[in-house]
Amino acid sequence: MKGLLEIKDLKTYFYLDKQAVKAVDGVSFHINRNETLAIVGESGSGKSVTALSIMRLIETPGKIISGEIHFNNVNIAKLSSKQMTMLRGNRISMIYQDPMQSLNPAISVGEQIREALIIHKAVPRKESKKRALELMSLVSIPEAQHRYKDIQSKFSGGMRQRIMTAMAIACNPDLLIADEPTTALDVTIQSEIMDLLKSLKQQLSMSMLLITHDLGIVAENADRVIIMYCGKIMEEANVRDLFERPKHPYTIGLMKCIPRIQDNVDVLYSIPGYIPNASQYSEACRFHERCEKAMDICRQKEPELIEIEEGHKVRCWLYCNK
Amino acid sequence: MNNIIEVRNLVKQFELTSKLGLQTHCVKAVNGVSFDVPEGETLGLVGESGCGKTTTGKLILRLVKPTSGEIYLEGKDINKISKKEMRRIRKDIQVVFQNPYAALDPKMTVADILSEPLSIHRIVFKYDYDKEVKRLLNLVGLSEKDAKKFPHEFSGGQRQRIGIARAIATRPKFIICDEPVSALDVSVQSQILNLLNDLQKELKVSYLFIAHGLNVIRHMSDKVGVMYLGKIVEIGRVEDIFNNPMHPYTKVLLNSAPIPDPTIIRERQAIKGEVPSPITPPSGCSFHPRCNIAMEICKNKSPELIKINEGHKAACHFCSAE
Ligand SMILES: Nc1ncnc2c1ncn2[C@@H]1O[C@H](COP(=O)(O)OP(=O)(O)OP(=O)(O)O)[C@@H](O)[C@H]1O
Ligand code: SF4
Ligand code: SF4
Ligand SMILES: [Mg+2]
Repeated sequence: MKGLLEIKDLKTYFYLDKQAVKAVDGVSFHINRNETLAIVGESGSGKSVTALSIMRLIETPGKIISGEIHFNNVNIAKLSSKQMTMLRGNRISMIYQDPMQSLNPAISVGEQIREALIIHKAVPRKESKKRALELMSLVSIPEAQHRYKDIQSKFSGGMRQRIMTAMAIACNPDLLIADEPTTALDVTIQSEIMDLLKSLKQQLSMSMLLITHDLGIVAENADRVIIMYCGKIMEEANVRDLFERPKHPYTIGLMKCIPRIQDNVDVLYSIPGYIPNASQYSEACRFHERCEKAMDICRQKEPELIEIEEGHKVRCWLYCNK
Repeated sequence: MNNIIEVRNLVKQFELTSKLGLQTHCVKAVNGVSFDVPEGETLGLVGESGCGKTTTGKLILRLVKPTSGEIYLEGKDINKISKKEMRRIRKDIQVVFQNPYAALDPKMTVADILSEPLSIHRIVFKYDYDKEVKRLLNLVGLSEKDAKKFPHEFSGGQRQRIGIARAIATRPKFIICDEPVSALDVSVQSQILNLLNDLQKELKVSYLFIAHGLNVIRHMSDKVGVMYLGKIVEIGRVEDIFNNPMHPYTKVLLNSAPIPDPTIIRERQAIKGEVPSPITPPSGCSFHPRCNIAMEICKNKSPELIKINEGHKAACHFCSAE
C-alpha cells in the first residue's frame, strides 16, 4: 500500500426519493506520512463526504457502496463499528467548520478534552487532567489553568476551534482531517488557526487532509492537491505544479475566476453555467456543459483520470491520446 | 461629481435585555459613521463579523431607525421627509442580500416576484409587465422562459440573478449589496460580480458593496471603508487602501488574507487576540488591545479620522501624513 492512507475507487451514494445522488463516485488517492493533501471543490463536489467516508461516519440514506480505504495497512471500510470507534479520534481525527456544533455545550472544555484522553486510554486517568491542560497550552489557549472549567459559550469562535483541535490531537493521531477549519472565522483569526495546524502537524508528525474551497489556503498549506468536481477527481498534482501548470479546464477556470488582491483586472474570467444536479449525471464528462474546450467525445464518454507527468493526473480528453 | 448618498455621523445603538430582564446592555453597532457615495461609483465596506456593516446598510434602507445622524439621498435628509417622498426613496434605494435562498418567496413565480415592485412603484403600465419582466431577465442573463418557474427550480447563482433583477426593477439610483456572493459557489461568484459591474455601467447605479473578502472588495470598489467595532477606521480610494494602507488594522487585514500563489512565502504579522465584544468596547482607540504599536495615549483617547491625502483618511494617533 502507498503512504499512510490509500483510497481505491470509493463510491458513496445517498438514496433520496428513489434517486441515487452520487456524492463520491469512484475516488482514488493516497496521503503520505507527514504530508498535507488538500481537497478543493465547491459545495456538493463530494469533499466532505469523502472525509466522512474515511471516518466511517456516513449515515442513512447515505452508504459507502464500494471501495477500499487502507489506513496503516488495514482496510477500514471492512472494520466493525466497534473497531472503528477505537480508531476514530485516536489514530484518525477530524475537525469541522463549526466547532460550536461539535462541542458539548454543558460540559467544561477542559473536561471534554480529558474525556477524549480517557476514552482512548491515552494516559492513565490520574494524569489526564494534567495532559488536558498541556493540550490547551499546546493549542495556545491563554491562561489554560483558569479556562479549564469554562464551557464553550464563554469562548470566541477562534478559541473554540483551538479547543476542538486540542481534542482532535489528544491521542497523537497519524491523520488529522480538517474540513473547512477556518471558513466560519474572521480573516485575522483564520491565518492564526492555519498557522497553528501547520505547526502542530510538524511537532506531532501527523499527516493532514485539508478540505477547503479557498485556493489561498491551499497555496499556503498543502503539499499536494486534489481538485474535485461532481464527485470525481478532475486533477491531482503537487501544489506548485497545480498553480503553475494547471491542466484541467475546470482548474484553469477556477484559478482565473477568483479576484486577486495583488493584481486587479477589469473584468474577471467567469466559468459559464452552473454545477449540474448530482442526481442527473450522464455518461459524459461532468464538466462538458461549462467547458470552452468541449469536443464531441466529451459529450459522449467520460475520460479516465490519467497520469500525464510524474504525480500529475488529469481527467480530460484533451490529454488522452484517444 | 454628485453624491447620491451622504451619510453623516450615523449612530445605531441596540438595547439588549438579559434573559432575566435584570440587566440592560447597549451595543453601539454603528458608532459615528460618515461617507459619501458618488454617482455611478461603488463604496466597498470591509471588516470582520459584527463590525456593523450590515447595520449600516439597514440604516440606509430604513429597515432600522438610527439613534442619531443623517442620511442624505441626493441632498435630501431621508429621515425628515414626507410620506409621499418616502415612496420615492423606497424605489430609489434597493438591496441585494447574501442568501438568495431565503430572500425569494418560494410560492411566487419569477414573473410574480419581478412584477411586484413594478406594481408597487408603478414603474410601467400593467399591460407592459410581461415585456418588462422579459427585459429584466435578459439584463441579468436569464432566459425569458424562466419567468414561469419557481425559485426552487434554480441554482444559487441563478437565484442571485433573480434577486438582482428584482432590485433593478424599480430603476434605483443606489443598491446595497450585502455579501452578494459569499453564499455562492466559487465558480459562480465571478459571474455575479461581472453582472453587477455591467449593470452599473449600463444603469449608472451606485453601490454600497459589503463584503468580508478583501479580494472581492478590491475588485468591486472605487472607494473602500474599513470598519472596526462600529467605526470606519480608514477610508480612501481603492488604490490608497490596498497600496498605501495607513491604519494598523487595515495593514493586519491585508496581511491576513491568504495568497493563492505557492511561490510567495509571506512574512506574517501576528495579531493579538480577537475582536472584542461590541457590548464592552475597549477604551480609547478600540483597536488598542490588538495593536502592535499602541502607546499610552491609545488607551485614553479615541483617535479622529484625519486626512492623510486627498480623499484618504485614517483614525490612528500615529498615522498622520508625513
Ligand atoms: N437587532 C439587533 N439587536 C441587537 N444587536 C444587534 C442587532 N443587529 C445587530 N446587532 C449587533 O450589532 C453589531 C453589528 O452587527 P452587524 O450585523 O451590522 O455586523 P456585520 O458587520 O454585518 O457582521 P457580519 O460580517 O457578521 O455580517 C453586532 O455586535 C451585532 O450582534
Ligand atoms: S473532457 Fe472535454 S469537456 Fe471535459 S474538461 Fe476536458 S475538454 Fe472539457
Ligand atoms: S490609535 Fe493607537 S491603538 Fe489605535 S491603531 Fe493607532 S496606534 Fe494602534
Ligand atoms: Mg453582515
